[in-house]
Amino acid sequence: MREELAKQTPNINPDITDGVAGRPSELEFELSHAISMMLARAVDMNAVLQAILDGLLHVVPYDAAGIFLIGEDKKIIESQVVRGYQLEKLQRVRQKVDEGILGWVIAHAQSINVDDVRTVPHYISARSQTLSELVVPIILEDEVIGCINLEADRLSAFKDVNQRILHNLASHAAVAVDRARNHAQVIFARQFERELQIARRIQIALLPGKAPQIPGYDFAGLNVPSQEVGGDYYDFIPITKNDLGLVIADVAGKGIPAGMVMAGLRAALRTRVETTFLMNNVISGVNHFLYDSTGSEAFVTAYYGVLDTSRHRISYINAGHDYPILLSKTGEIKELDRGGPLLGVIKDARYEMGFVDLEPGSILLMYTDGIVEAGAAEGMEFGKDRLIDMLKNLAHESAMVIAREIEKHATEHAPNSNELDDRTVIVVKRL
Amino acid sequence: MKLKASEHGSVLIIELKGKIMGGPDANMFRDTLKEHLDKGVKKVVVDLGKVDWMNSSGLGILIGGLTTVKNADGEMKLARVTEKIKSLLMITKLIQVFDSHETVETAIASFSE
Repeated sequence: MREELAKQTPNINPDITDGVAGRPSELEFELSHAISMMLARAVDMNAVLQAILDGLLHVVPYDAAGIFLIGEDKKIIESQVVRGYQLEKLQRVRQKVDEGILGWVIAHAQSINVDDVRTVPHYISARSQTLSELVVPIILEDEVIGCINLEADRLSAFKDVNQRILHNLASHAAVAVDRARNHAQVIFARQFERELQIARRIQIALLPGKAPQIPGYDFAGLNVPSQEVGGDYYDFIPITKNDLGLVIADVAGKGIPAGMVMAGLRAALRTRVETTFLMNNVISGVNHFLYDSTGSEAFVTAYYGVLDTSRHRISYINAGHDYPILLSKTGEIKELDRGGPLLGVIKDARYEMGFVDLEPGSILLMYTDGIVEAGAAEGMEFGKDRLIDMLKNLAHESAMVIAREIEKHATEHAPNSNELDDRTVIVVKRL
Repeated sequence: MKLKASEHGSVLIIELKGKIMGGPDANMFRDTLKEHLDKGVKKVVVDLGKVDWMNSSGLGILIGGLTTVKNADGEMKLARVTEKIKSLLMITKLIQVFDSHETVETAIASFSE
């Protein structure tokens, strides 16, 4: 028997009490010690609970035993580990939290030793042979989280001393359950954090790694999501030797849902850019794609332009996006407003094209509303006028400096950074 | 966002107030619409006169509302559209999609009998 116990509760050393014919107090001490050692090593909860029941058999002999825990809904108690019941392997004993002896113990946070279960009104029998029963609550931080239940096939099988032993083990069980629950939460939080980091890396990979290098031009793009993952998208897409696609888009909302739409949008757009030169088909196609795949729930404002770097001309479609700003060398402002409604809302929306020339010394600024609306939730919007003033003041700087300064000032303008939306800036300078 | 719904004859008037920014606001608006549409309401006026501010997510509430009402064979009109919302509707080119009116009364009167 000692060897058997040692096998089931691996930390019991059979040599310690060798030759002593199983005095309960010594066995109890060994069992308690073995369980403590298991707890110190963060083994899984069920292993600890099983070791409690298996070890207990030799300290407080029983015919059936179970450790029951209250479910998350606080309505059902369910056996976590059992011994001696006639149950299919995976089947569990379940009962309502306010019924039977177990229910009484849980409701009163007190143990009960029943000499004859036949005398108990409303007794719920899980085994017809059971005559006496001992139940103690498992208490964690003043809250009953379950109970340990022992059943015997003879009358008055359990003594007061047994009740005390069971109390001691119930406190071990509470620690095991607490550990397992905290551990599960930590694991979940870590896993979520890891997945978020991966999502962030994927999203960064979906954005341009570096700006294009084209003689006579200076390009820069910058994206700062408000959370790990964002709903803004920008792209430089080489189409031909002379034609460069310039995209900026803002998916409504932020965080992971917006990030998922952003990834779909990028794929839908790039596929169409690769297969057709007709900008109308590109935008109408993406509009259909978004409408069909997300209904009117998700929508996107987008600007798609193609810069012909030999003729210095931009053809574009603005699908409901904040107007890109073209600043000429002489300080004139032109807004790129031609196009049609935002994407994903109106099934057969029509889009017109706009055309604009990029004179030497002019700068095209594209941005998402996270820039101009920084601080708006607090009633002090960064605003387009301030943006235009900044652009004029920074005109002599490189494209990257302009983009960085604008993003920085917009962010600093917002009194509460939690209210900030995703922020994206693209700057194209014709030198 | 605050929301107040009232019935004026067969017309449901939804008054929105404060900042409209999407998220839970969207559910509140949709639930109010659904509740009345289920009772057979077909005419809806959204009064935006007391809206301080709205971002593009907030715009989603109006778009979603329009879709919901149209799917129920109803009509939705906007009344007292503020400058901020007007410029948002201009930029997103949804100005033609929404039927906007100067006052709640003219919006109500514009429903074809």
